[in-house]
Amino acid sequence: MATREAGKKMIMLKSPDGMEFEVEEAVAMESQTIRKMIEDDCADTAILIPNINSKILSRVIEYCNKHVPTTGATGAAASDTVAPAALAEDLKIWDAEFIKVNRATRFDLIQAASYLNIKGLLDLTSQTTIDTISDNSLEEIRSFLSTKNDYLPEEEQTIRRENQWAFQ
Amino acid sequence: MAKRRRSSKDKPNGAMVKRKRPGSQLGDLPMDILCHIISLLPLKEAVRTGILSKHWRYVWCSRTNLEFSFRSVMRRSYKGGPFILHPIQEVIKRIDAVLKQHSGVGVEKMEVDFSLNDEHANHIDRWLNFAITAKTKQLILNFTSVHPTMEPYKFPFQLFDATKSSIFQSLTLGSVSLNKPANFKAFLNLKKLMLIYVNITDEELQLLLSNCKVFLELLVVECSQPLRHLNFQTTLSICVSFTAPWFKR
Repeated sequence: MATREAGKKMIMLKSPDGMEFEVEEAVAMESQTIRKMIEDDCADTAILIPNINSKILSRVIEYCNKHVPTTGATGAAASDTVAPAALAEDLKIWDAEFIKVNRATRFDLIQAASYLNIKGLLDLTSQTTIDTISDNSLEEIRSFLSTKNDYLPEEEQTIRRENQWAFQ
Repeated sequence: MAKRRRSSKDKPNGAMVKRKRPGSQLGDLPMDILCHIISLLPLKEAVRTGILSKHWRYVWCSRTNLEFSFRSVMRRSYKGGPFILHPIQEVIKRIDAVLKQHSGVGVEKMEVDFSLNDEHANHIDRWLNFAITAKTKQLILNFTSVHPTMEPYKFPFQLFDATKSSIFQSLTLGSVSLNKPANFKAFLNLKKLMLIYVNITDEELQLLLSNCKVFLELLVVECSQPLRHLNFQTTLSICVSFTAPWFKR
């Protein structure tokens, strides 16, 4: 949760399970969905974020808090003192730590990032998922996705025939 | 402006107590998110996800990028094993197999990057028609080969009527022949054009772009003519203009 600093505009975000998060407007505006609401003057009081529970919302805010200085308007001061390359490297390490969560949490984060339209977070969570799918056998992917093969043998044969090249 | 209140430290309501929810599997995500994820996978691996289960059968068919290159289409799935140089007919077969199953909508980027030439024109025309129907924003046709001895593919301007010519926003053409017929107006919404090994004169290029409404960026790589006398009404930046004097058709 954000600590309030003098002169910073604050926004209240509410999760459907009743938690409230007070965040800097610049941090909240990392989400294009929220940015649009603020710009359209729809964010008069607190903003209710449906479908995203407090556990996930707090992680999302944590991500936005970390990422706002490099991309947001408040970033000028931070980038003056630290070299951009070092800053990017620091963010990369931070991201790698941030995404060390269990699968269910990651899928929740993907969904939240998509709904709130936070490109960096969507790319980070999606790419991590892709890395798990890539270069694994079909059985490994099925097990990772908790998906059961529900094709009849002849159906599977048809799909394999249609896409023979992809299975070579 | 938000009301200022202390952040609640109270115990949350019962709603969030349940931790293990059944809906926390990748396949349960909304289709648009799944498409986003599937579009990040290399094409070959994306196609393979169709066999996971019935739910996954058509997810890859909505991917937004279709890249057909040696790396994406001809590479072996697993490392090791002998290197097989497939004939170009195999390439064509694979591209057709993918396009036949793709939903044909929402394509952001389509790329065909193989040493093809005018002999393959009927296939390339077919893929180009797919790209047009799918309202592809970015199209890359790069047929550059190490030994350009064959007649280059003649870009079929006749496929583009007034509506169709406004689809592409970014166009990359490599080793194609551009012979714009007099009745072709322009790619109206083109923002970026990149030409690689294209034999084109200043006048032809100027004619090709003079009616573009929003044209912004032109990249010319290894083309046969030094482009010195371009004069455009619209805002235009020529980013790269390498010429190779040894390149003569």
